[in-house]
Amino acid sequence: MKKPDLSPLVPPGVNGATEVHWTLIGVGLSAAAGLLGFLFRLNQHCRSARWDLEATGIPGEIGTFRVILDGNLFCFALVNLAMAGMLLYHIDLHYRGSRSIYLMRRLPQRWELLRRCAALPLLGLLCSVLVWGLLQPLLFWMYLTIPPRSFLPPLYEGGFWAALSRGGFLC
Amino acid sequence: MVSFDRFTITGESPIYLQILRYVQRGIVAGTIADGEELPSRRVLSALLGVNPNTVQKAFRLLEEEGLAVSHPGAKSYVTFTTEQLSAIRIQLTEDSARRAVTAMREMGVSLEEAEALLRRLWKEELP
Amino acid sequence: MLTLQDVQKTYHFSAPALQGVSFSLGPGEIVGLFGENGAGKTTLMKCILGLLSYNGTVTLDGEPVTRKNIERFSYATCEHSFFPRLTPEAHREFYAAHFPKFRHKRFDALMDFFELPLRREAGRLSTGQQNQLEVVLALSQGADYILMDEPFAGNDVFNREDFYKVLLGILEPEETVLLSTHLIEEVERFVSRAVLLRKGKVVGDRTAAALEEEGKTLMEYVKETYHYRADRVLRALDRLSGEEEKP
Repeated sequence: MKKPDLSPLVPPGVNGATEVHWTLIGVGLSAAAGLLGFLFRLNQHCRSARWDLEATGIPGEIGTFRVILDGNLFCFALVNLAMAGMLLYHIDLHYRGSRSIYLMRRLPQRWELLRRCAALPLLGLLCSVLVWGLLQPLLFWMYLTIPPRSFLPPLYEGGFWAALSRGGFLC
Repeated sequence: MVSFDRFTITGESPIYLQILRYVQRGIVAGTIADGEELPSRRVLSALLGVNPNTVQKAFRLLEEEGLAVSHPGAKSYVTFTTEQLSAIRIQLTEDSARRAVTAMREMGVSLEEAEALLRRLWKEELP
Repeated sequence: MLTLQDVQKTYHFSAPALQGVSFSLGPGEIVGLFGENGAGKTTLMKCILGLLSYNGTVTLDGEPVTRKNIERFSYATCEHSFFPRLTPEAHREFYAAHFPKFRHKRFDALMDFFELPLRREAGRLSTGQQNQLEVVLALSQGADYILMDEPFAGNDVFNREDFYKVLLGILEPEETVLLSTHLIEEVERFVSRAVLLRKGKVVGDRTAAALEEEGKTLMEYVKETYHYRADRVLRALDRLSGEEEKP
């Protein structure tokens, strides 16, 4: 696939490809960190449920989905902050070393300045939110399938769709 | 093409007048020929570093004096008759002499001193 | 025709920068805008271009200045409005892409004349070269109203003289230039009109032809308009030497 020309989407002189590259890495790492953190806590809860089982004969209960998830997707917030930073950086570039802001504000094309400053930050934010949003059903599915069924709280009985309709995803 | 290489602008009089005088002197000295082409207004204004309006004024004055002819959108040419040349020579000479006389009188030079000076200088080599 | 009517601008928490400026610029004029530091020259140009908000009206051929006609203006400023990371060549592409009337031939000729390197980033040119690039871009944009705000700060005199001559040679009859500068004597010959600003007001406006009729040089006109006291220097020196001679 031919590399797309990103130059109309960034302030002149900025390497759009590099910014996209690092944003994707940021989102990827956030997803990886979220996944690993989730699995780690899930494992912790399962282990303690197993101890309960061995000690008392009754299986313990692991936390609800949200309890396991809590805080693990924090890195996405950092990526979002970085996108805000990128926006500010793009704007600031027009005041550094010269006032190219005067040229940009004189262009006949109304949206040129806004487009160049905000396009990648907005796309990056969108990507971050999208991945954050898509990751959660995946983690939910893992929550339902990885631990032994007896460890799951009663709310989650009956499989993926039953648990979902009972609001298990939100607890 | 009339050359303006030797033309320098001084602060003494309006520039358009200086241009006129330059052309007049050239005619009298024989360095500007009848029918010789004048540079275009834009070129001359760039050459001299003066506003085109100034050059326009000078050219118009030349035309009024009957020393140049131009057609709209076309080149301008110097034009003069021998009578005009003589008339200009007299005019310029008088102007020069008048300036010299005024200067000398202001310095308190007497007529006899002036005449003696004139005779002596006349014998000197021309620069 | 560019017409300003009662243009006023006050920055927050400051004295007014422009107090009711009114004048018109016609096609083909080369107008020098003179004034002391802080007189409002820069503010005025920025208001014309819509870079600052203001009271009063600015119209171009009867229409307000909007995105529709903004391309008829170009701007060269001593603050520089090019992109430091872009080469002159890349600037040409950018300008051509955004200003359909961009003059390629003129750009090439001027780049050649100033001997500016096409492929060095603008931020890495010398100050003099940066000034030149700024002016080249303003002249090549294809605008008919070219606003230049002290474009020669930092250029040597030969540079400037050459530049005035080139300007006179390439400007077309319908192109109008508004040039603000301190260098009155230098631009005297090549402007056709002088507008004098003082503390945000127009205090003088004369064509070169009118000054000629009156037998005044531009410098003389400026001095008398600003009530310049030629003896100021002498009196200051007098006072100084008087003090020093005290035992």
